[in-house]
Amino acid sequence: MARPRLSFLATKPAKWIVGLLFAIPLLLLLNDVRIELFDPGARLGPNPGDVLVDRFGTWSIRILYLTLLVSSISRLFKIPILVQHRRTCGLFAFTYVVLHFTAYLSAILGFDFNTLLGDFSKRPYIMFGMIALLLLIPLAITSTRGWRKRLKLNWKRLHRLIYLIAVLAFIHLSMQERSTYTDTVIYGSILVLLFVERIVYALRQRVARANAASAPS
Amino acid sequence: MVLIKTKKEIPSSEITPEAVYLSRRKFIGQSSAVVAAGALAQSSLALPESWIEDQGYEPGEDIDEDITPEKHATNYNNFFEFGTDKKDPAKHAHQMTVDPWSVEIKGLVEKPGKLPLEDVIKDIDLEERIYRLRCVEAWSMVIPWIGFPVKSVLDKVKPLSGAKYVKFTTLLRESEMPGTKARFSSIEYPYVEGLRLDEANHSLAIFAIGMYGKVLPNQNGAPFRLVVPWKYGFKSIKSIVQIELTRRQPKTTWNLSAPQEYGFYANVNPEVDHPRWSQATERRLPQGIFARSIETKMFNGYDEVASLYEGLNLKRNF
Ligand code: HEM
Repeated sequence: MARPRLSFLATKPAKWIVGLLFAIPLLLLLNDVRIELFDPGARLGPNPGDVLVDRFGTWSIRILYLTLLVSSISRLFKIPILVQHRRTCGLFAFTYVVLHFTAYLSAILGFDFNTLLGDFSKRPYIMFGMIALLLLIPLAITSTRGWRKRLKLNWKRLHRLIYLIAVLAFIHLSMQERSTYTDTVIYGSILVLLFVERIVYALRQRVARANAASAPS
Repeated sequence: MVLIKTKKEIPSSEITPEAVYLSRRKFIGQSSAVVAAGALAQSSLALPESWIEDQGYEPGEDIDEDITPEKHATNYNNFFEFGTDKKDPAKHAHQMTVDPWSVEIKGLVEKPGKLPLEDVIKDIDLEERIYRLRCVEAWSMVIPWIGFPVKSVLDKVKPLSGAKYVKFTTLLRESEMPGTKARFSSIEYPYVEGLRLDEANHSLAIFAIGMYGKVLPNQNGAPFRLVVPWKYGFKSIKSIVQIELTRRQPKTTWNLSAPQEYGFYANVNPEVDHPRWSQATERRLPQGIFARSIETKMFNGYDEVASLYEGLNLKRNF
C-alpha cells in the first residue's frame, strides 16, 4: 500500500528521528533545570516550579493528542506505515505526564505525600489528572510487541482506555482555566475532531461490511 | 542586577501602530518622523523619572526579610490587560500611555472631580513601605514601595456619611492593552477592585507611585496603584483612573468571574484554601526548584488589621 516515497517512514533511522524530535523539549527543559541549579532564576524565572509543571503539562497533552491523531492521519491519508510511530508517541506522552507529575510532587509539594493525598480527594482537577496518569501505566507496560501478541484481542480493548485518558486530561486542563477559555476551545475542538473521525470511520466500515455481506457470492 | 529594558531597546514595530508600521514600508521618507514621534511618546512618564528623587521620601522601616531582587519584581507580573503569561506585562506594558494621567473621583464625596495625577499627590509626603506581597497563586515577594496612605487622599476629597465602600477602576484602553482583546475571555474589563471604607482608611493601605526608589514601571501599575499588604495581590489594583465612594459593596472583577474562588475580602488566610491549591504555604520568590516553601501567616503577618474584622466569619467571608 505504501507509496514508495513514504517507505522511509518504516525504517530504523525514521524511528530514531521521531524519537529525537519528541525528546527535544525534554532535553531543553532538563538543560534549563541544570542551569537553574547553578544559577537560580536564569532560565525559568523566579518561580521555576510552576513553570516546569506548566511546560511538562503542556507537552503532555500535546503529545497525548498527537498519539490519537497519528491513527486518524494514517487512515485519512492512507499512510498505514505511520501507525508504526504511534507507540513511540504514546510512550513519550507517558514520559511527559510522569515528569509533569514529578515536577508537581517535588517542586510544588516538596514530596509531601499527605498533601498529595489531600489534593487527590479535595481537588477534582488533580483527581482527574491522577486517574489519567494511573491509567496510562498499564498502557505503557503493554505497549510492547510481546504483550500485544499475548493479549490478542484484549490488547485492543485495553488500549481503548486512551480515549478515556484523553477526556480526563481535557477535563483536568479545562478545570484550571481562569481568565480565558482558549485552551478549552483549542483542545476541546481537537478532541471532538478526533472522535468524529473515528465515528465516521467505524460507520463506513460497517456499511462496507454490510455491502460485502449482501453482495451475491 | 539586570536593568529594566530601556525604552531604546524596544523595536519600533512594537510601539508603532500596525497600520503606521506597515505603511512605513511604502513611505520610507515620511516614516522616520512617525518613528520619532513614537519614541517621544515612549519616553514620557506621568511623573518625571526624577520626581521621587526631587521630592525625596522617608526611607522605609527595614523588615527582617530579604527584599526581592528588582528584576524579578518587574519581570514576573500579573497584569492581564497585557496578557496572561507572567512575562507579558514586562513585554507589553510599555505601550500604555501614562502621561497625561488623571484620576476621577466620584460618588459619595464632598469634592468630586477629575484631577491630574500631579494634583492628587500635591502636598503629600512620600514614604517608603517595605511590604510582603502575597499573591493568591501561593507565591510572594518583598517590595519597597514608595507612596502615601490611601487615607490622605480620602481625607482631601471628604467621603460623605453614607459612603461605606471605595471602588477602584483600572485604565481600559484596548489599543494599548493587547490582553483586553483576547478571545474567549472570562473576565470583564475594566478591572475593578474595592475595599470597605474602614479598610481603605487603615494606615497600612497605601497608594504607590514608585518602587525600588524610582517611579513605578508600567507593568507594576504605573503611574498610580493601590497596595493593601494583608490581602491577596489581586486586591492591590494597578493603574487606577477612577475612585468611587459607594454605599454598596462594589462588584469586583475576580469575584464576579469566579465567586467561589475569589472573595471580596481576599484577606490572606492560610486556613482557607483556594479550590485548586492550599494557601497554607507560599513560595517566596525567587525560589530554587527544590527549595522549601514557607508558611503563610494570617493577614500576611499584619496582625494589626485584625480589629477590622472582629465578629466577621473569615472562613465564610474569604
Ligand atoms: C494525562 C495526564 C495529564 C495531562 C495531559 C496534564 C496536562 C496538564 C496541562 C496541559 C496543564 C496546564 C499547563 C498550563 O497551565 O499551561 C496542567 C496543569 C497542571 N497539572 Fe496536569 N496533566 C496530567 C496529569 C496531572 C497529574 C497526575 C497531576 C498531579 C497530581 C497534575 C497536576 C497539575 C498541576 C498542579 C497543574 C498546574 C495547575 C495550575 O497552574 O493551577 N497533572 N496539566
